[in-house]
Amino acid sequence: MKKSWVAQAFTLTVLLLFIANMVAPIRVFSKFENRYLAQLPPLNVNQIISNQFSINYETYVNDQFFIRDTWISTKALIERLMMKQENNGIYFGKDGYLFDKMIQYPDQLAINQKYMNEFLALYPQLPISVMIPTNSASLLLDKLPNHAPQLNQYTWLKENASDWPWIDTFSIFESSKKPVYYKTDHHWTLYGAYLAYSEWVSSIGKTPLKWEEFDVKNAEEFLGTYYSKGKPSVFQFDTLSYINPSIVSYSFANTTVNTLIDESKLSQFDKYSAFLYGNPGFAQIITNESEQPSKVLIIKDSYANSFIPFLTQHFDQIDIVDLRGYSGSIKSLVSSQDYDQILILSSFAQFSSDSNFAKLRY
Amino acid sequence: MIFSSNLFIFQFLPIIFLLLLITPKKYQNLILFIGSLIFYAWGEVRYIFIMFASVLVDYVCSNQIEKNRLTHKTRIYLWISVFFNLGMLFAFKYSNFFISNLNALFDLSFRNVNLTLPLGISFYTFQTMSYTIDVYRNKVKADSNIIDFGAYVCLFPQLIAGPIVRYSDIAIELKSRVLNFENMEKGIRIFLLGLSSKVLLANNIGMLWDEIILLPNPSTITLWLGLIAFGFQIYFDFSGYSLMAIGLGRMLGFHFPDNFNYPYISQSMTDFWNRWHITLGSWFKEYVYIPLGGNRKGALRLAINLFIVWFLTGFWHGAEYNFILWGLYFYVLLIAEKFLLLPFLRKHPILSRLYFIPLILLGWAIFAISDLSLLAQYIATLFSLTSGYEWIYYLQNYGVILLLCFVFATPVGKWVINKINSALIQDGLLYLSFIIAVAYLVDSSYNPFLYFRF
Repeated sequence: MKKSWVAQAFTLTVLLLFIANMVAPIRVFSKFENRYLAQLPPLNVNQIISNQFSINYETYVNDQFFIRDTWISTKALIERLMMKQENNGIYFGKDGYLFDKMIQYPDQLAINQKYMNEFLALYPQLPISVMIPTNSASLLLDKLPNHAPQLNQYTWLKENASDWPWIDTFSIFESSKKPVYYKTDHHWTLYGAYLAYSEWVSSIGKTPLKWEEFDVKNAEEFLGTYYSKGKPSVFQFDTLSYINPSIVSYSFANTTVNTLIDESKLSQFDKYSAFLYGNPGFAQIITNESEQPSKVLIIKDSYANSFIPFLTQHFDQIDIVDLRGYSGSIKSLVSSQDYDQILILSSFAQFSSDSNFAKLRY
Repeated sequence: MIFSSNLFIFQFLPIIFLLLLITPKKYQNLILFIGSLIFYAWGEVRYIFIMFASVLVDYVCSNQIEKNRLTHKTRIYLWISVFFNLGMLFAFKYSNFFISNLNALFDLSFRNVNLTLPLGISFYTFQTMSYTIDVYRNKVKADSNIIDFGAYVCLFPQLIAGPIVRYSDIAIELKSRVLNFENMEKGIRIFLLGLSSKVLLANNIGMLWDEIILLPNPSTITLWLGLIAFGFQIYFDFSGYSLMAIGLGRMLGFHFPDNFNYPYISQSMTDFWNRWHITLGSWFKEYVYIPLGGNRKGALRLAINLFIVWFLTGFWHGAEYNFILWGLYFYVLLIAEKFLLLPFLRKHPILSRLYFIPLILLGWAIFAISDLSLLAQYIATLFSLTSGYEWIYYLQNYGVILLLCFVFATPVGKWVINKINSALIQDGLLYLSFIIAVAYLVDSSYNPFLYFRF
């Protein structure tokens, strides 16, 4: 063997990274991954005995690793060279479409189905609707990589949701000429939200406005959650459209504003959080001060955030509950408010995995 | 702690080596002992006491055997040690298996004990047991220095997933070894080969297996592809761990025995078991098969002895019925080879592989799927003609990695590397794979540890 240098290179690399990891500043938030990074965990006897310290410390080492973003991009590049059509559970589909991969229904789905049945049985006299939009992969089958295994969420809904007062958005999406899903984000587009709005509003006997009647504005260069998770090296930007109808007030978590759009977010990375200022546990929109307001309760996930602005023409008061952050009682809310309509609007992804649906029954 | 983590490579490793560099020779084993305890305690702090108990019991027993040579007391101390080691293994690894079987059999309701399996217990109990037995057999002298002995028992490179290093393998190096450049260099190269095997090959092909096992309606081709993926995963994972261990040992100045030798080029199961997890096979041979009488007591005793060995080998891999089944599966094949097939298999390099490869893959199905009804369903689909096209997607996504696995699971890879015959390119490839492995560890969405059941 001729002169070998790999051992020296290894030693040097290890020592340099050892030092770099010690001296590099601690980062709190990663724009690249759009998430908070782990910080140095507290060191105490309880944490050590329960092994929490060692688990958290390892996460901390990885999260704060020197030039972490570069390492992640390197991995993504290698995956691409190996001709992988997915990364971190995100398919790289055709025409720039990214999809979340689902090959098995989570166990939570059957549990949440039970919770939903119990919830509906609690209020037989109330006008409740249930809307569970599927992910884009269930609709845009021809945009998936060839032969990619994927469960079709609509199949489950057809078999199981018909027992409920279910609003089937899928069928109208199928015939839509305009895109109803983003390429890089898990949400529906504003147009998708509009179609869902018009379907639901018609179903409760009101007349939806026409798409052209809304003043649609755009924010360009939107990259969504699928992008952040899959980190494709080749991608296409989305355009995030929104409407900003005039309202009297929008209050959530000790804050009251008079707009539904947090415009400051539109120029940042996480543009979708401009809708309704994110996901507060409870929020209330007043669109019209009236003696006998028409009221609606929306129990929802973030899909509803772009959908709710369409409702301002039809209701005087819109109460919004996001179960993930809501600690109150649905029962007492419903009995105190005398709602004209109740809508449960949750994406299938959320409905099949979020344990907070247990709160529906309380 | 596991080797294939940034914590180990970029914190534990530099710190322990810097400490060893500035420590005088006579305290080096103390540093190794303490460092190894921290390494061990990282995942489960409380189990550090098992380590202390192991060291203490085997230290006392071996030294008492040494002191009382030629008296009947040696036997007592041997049995104390064997009883203690097997007792620990039984208590932590097998008690729930027997509790649930007793419950099912006699309709009882004993509660399962709530214990996580201490990391590597199957490996280090075998190591310490072989030590006391060797002292009893007068093959090695009992170590009178508890620090040196403790360093052997807990030695972090071989602590958690093999190779099973016997005391006699490293007795001399335990007392005097050198941290020198040559060992360092050789050790680092072996470590990097192991790290790349584990992180780049095993983890990547493992994702394919993990996905296929979840598919609701898989096709026959997909399931065979799944077994190929699992076969590569367990090989590169396990041999990668062994290589990392051997490399780390070498960096410290120890020479550990080899553990794998291209098992998938075998022409028979007999051949396979001489190439797969070699230190485990030779442990069972030395401490079970030969003491039982081996092949010297006639064909019937041979068949019984082999049955015991393969039952235990299977059961050693995990406290589940499928592992027993897996061991007995090999027992049947090995007996058939011993009495009938071997001469034929040795003469026919192609036909023998048409026999070996499907059967070794079928064996992996038994190994990988603990739920027996799921296993039956899996095997039924393997031999049906269930159609489907997911495998096309999988081949496209995993084609490159499958090819790399094939190349490095056979001597083809070595042949190509030797053919290149340029230190610059060889070193470059090794260093590049290290950097890529680090990238995969930083973005560590998938890095399983397969031996939690061993």
